[in-house]
Amino acid sequence: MAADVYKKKGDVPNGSLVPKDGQQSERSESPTPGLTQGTEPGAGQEGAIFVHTKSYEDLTSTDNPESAPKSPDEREEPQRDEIKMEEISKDFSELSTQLTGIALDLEEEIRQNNEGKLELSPQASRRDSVLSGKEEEDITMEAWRMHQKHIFVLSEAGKPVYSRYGCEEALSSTMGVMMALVSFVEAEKNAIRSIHADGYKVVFVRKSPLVLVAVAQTRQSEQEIAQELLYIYYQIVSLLTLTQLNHIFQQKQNYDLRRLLAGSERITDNLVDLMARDPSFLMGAARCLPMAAGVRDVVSACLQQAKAKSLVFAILLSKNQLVSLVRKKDQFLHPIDLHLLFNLISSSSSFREGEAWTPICLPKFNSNGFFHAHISYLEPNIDLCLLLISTDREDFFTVSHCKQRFQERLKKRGVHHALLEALRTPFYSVSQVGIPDLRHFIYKSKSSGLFTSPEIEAPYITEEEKERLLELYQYLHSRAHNSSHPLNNIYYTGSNENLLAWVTSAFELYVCFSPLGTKAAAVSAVNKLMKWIRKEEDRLFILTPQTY
Amino acid sequence: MALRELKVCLLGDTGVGKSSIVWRFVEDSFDPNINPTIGASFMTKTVQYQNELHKFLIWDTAGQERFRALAPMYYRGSAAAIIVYDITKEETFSTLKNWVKELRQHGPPNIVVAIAGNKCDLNDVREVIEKDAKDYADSIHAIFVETSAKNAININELFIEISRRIPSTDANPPSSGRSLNLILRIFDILHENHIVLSVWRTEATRARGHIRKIYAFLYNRVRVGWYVSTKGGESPK
Repeated sequence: MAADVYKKKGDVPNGSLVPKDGQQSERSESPTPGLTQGTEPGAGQEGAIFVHTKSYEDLTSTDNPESAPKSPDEREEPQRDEIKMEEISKDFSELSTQLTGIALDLEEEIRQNNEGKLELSPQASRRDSVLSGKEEEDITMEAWRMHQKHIFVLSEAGKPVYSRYGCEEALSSTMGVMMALVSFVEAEKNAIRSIHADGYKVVFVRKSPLVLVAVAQTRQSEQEIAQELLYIYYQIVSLLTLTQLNHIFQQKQNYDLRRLLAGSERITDNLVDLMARDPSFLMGAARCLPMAAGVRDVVSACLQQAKAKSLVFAILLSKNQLVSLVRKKDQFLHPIDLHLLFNLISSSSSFREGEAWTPICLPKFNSNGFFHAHISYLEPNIDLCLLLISTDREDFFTVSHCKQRFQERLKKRGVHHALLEALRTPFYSVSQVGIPDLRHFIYKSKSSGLFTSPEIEAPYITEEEKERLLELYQYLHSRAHNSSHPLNNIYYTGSNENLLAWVTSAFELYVCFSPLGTKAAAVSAVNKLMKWIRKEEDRLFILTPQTY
Repeated sequence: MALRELKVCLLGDTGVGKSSIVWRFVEDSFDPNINPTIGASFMTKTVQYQNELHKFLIWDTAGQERFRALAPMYYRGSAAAIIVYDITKEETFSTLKNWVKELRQHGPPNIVVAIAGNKCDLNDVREVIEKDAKDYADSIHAIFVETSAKNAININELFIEISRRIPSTDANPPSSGRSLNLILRIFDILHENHIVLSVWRTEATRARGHIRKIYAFLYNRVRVGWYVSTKGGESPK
């Protein structure tokens, strides 16, 4: 089915934009990955901060092998690599042209003429929806149909739980159909994973007692969309715990879960938006705020010293970037749990005042119980948030006192101002690396679970362009981690940019170059880049994590 | 000047304006696009009342259903509860009555209850008649005001009235007085607003009954984090 989609797309005249000599694989002459895991730039000296996650597949398959469904073409017998590479090239060029907006609009026009009923281009309607926020949209409107990605969550009784766009109640019959599809296929002891039709991917994830469905027009792979759905599932579990979720539906099968989730729609909406913008989710890793190692070490030590018996994790963060993380010895945080915490904090302004104290479940740590999180900003109008995670819900004042002790220590040891100074430059420029053709990169150290990435600069200025760059990385990532055809090296020359992916057992590197460079230049640039990351690693990563 | 700590919690349906009332009182600001509270939020504010300083320790709870089970954690330790409803939404007033019931059953025995009908600036879309609410409040001996966090109407007055109603510690000295051969020491150890009282008994058996009295006395005043230890004797719990 997926192959049909490709073929159909191939007929569209934007194929002419593909550079003739564009596609090249670098498989044969890959630079030898001389680094073993744990010695790559960014690897922590005293063990990792996180649960060890090697790759994307690990994240999806640890507790539920079914949750990372393969697309039909992936399950087919291995095709010849050349064909694969051609396909990659074709997808890239489609992605490039699609997102420049020219070719797509053309395609759209053709379709409009044929069908004679479409009036809005998808991009225009998408922009509208971004502007209008979560106004309850009329689902009978054409604009509603044109959204790039719909997300639906329903109970096994077919009751709506969440919809990204539009009012859930108005969608109850649509969701009924979705549940009917799921049940119909299950009656034959099969499981529905996805439907590919007319440029849409409909992806199903079944996580009893919930069913999650995405209807996407994006170029993401089915696997990635399923991963996003899983994040949404974990988001819901983090609010209720799996125990409570199961209990509710055991008691009453047709329970309207929206009652319990009331007020949390904003958190889920924010998660969906964040996944399209922030590479942390794609990389399954956290980004650190760049700062001098000396300052970070003192901050971490201060945080570590302000401990309490019930504290399990202490996390200092700024705008979804990690400043410091202290954990109880032998307790590891899973990147998914950390991302959910980041999302919670970025989704609500209610933490800005006072000290918040809220139950939160970290589903990857323990899906059956609540932790209690003390959330506060250290100073008004400065984006520095402290998250103290305790096991005891009665321990608010003890934990609150830890915060005070941490702040006092910061001032006493004289790093307070250095910390605030580091917050003023939360991103570094790619020009610091000193490679002229280099536009942007993402480097992930696998053993530490941390990644680094410069600020996205020109020509990726608009939100659309930034998302396009991330989509290119998403595509590289999905190809590199394809479960039947994993690729270690990908090099692609396009009309808008040249891209390189290099995946080893120790690190992952995704690089974006200007389209004027050559492959040889790119390879030497990557070596230079790796040297630069090594030189700067103590600023870009947390090398000496603290434990209680 | 003497400093008194008054523990207050806010209860009520989601979206009635609990956080807005607290923000107006603590920061004197108002945000029309305020996000729903997650869990609960803790804030303090010290104001002068007659010749005392009153430090309000305020627990602003989330009104959403999934946080309902947490409420006892906050009202249990409070000297006063402000239950808020939205004058433009009838159903929030029914929720309020449920909160009053719950406080009567499970709350501390002499908790001061204040009822605040918020959003009184939206008089033209009013659904709850002021007199009905006032009559109800009188019937349960609760403080009653209609407030507007947006226009700063009756917010400070609400807290002043709470200051006035919460019985002063001095007005109620321990009744046992001289016969009680106990040393009472107060340590402000954990947090500036978290008081742990330790009671040491000097005479073995005689004091047991008194300890119970002291415990009852302490319980009414220091509700969060109380801790009474009887050295060698049984716990008065």
